Amino acid sequence: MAPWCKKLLAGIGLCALCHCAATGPGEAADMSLVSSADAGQTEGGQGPACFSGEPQTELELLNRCTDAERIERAHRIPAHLWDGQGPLPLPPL
Amino acid sequence: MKRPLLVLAAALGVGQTAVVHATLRCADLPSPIYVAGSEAVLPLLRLLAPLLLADPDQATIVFQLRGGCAGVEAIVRDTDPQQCQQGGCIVGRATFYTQDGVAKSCELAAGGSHVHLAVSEVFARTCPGLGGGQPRGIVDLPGPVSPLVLVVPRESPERAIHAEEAHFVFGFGRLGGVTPWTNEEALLIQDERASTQVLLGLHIQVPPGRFKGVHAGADVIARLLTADSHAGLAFVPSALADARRNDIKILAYQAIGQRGAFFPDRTAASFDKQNVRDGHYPLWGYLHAVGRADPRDPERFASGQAQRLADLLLGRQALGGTDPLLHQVRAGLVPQCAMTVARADDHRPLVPYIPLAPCGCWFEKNVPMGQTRCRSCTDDTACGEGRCRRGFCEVR
Repeated sequence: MAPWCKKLLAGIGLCALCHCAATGPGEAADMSLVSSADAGQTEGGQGPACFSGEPQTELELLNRCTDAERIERAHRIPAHLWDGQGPLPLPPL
Repeated sequence: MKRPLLVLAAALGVGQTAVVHATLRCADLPSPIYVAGSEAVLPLLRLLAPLLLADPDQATIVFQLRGGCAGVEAIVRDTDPQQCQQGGCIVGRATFYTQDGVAKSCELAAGGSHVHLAVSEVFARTCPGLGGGQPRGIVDLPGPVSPLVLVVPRESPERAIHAEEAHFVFGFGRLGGVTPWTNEEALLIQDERASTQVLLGLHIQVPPGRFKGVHAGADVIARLLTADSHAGLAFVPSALADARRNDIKILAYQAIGQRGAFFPDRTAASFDKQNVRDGHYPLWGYLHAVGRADPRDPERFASGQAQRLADLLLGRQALGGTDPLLHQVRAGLVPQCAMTVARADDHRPLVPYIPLAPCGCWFEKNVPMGQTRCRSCTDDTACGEGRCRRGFCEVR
């Protein structure tokens, strides 16, 4: 784990559990996305970017850099049913 | 690999079925505590039940599996202690455990038995049958975290599922067209009063009453094993799935907006719930203890039996000389002190969370095949700015 990351996470109480991507000490703590080459076993080649700053939102927590095994593959929803971007047919609850 | 799984399976009581004694009445058992709700609590009840029977203040846990929200409804509608209101009690048969941990069956009162405690993975106000809003006159205490997992037969080649795929699979069944999950006979569901289905529905945007598939019955995993090995898909609490990893496969889950799918655990083979604890796996709910409130003190349960069992389930009280949080861990649950994310409500997003007395290191060490990168300690001096807790340096 990068020293800056360790220090940052110790400050917010997550050091023991979170594992940031090993980025250099000169990089800013609030940078948002880094490559996830250390993201564990993947399907589909090089992983997408991950969030390496201090997470505040659910989306940042979901996409925070981690050493956990990650599975990547495209979705299998037929294109005529969903375009992969827009809202899902049934509304949020 | 096999041995830890077998040990875990034994701890969770896998493979044991209730032995039916037609004439045994639940009311004749020593101080019965009636519990109804989600199957997620079964492994924990099985650990606690023999200890309660052996306790000087002896009591018997009598459990009826009926879906978390159905259990909550039985509490909310039970407004008259003298008689059972419509939908306000449980009837039929229930399960209890002997001092040896053997599951047995007993007959509830013909007119219904009042439920002391309901157990659900969602807040009472989330249950669809209660019309929204906080039900009055009840206590709803969120306890340890119960992850929910989507599972397939072991032979399935699938490893992951997207939330959007699950939306089409469970929302539209065959017409959803998501291979290989297009056979509705192999999609195993519960009903809209099952807190597992309510919880999953919130995450994949499918109303709990609109799920496509066939009702799985009481033993979802047994049913899954008889389903089409490629098209079979079900959802269960991880406390049950973890004990059956030789038979089934837990799918990694990719939430809406997430990049990549994650298992509840750091890897498909571990039990550390790392991704649940740090926010990479959002499919979980607190295991709630719900009961009638004491009118004089709305923070406490009206029933002393309910209060006692709730304190045990929530890890507030020890029993049998064992650390109460260790019971939670052995039952496949995650104590809140091991979490670094929290959720204020089932509809609210995850937020970072720092427990008052963190136990993440201790948790990692105590799960099956557990290991931790934390430093062990006997006092705070070894922990720098952190604190020595339960033998490990925690951040505070």
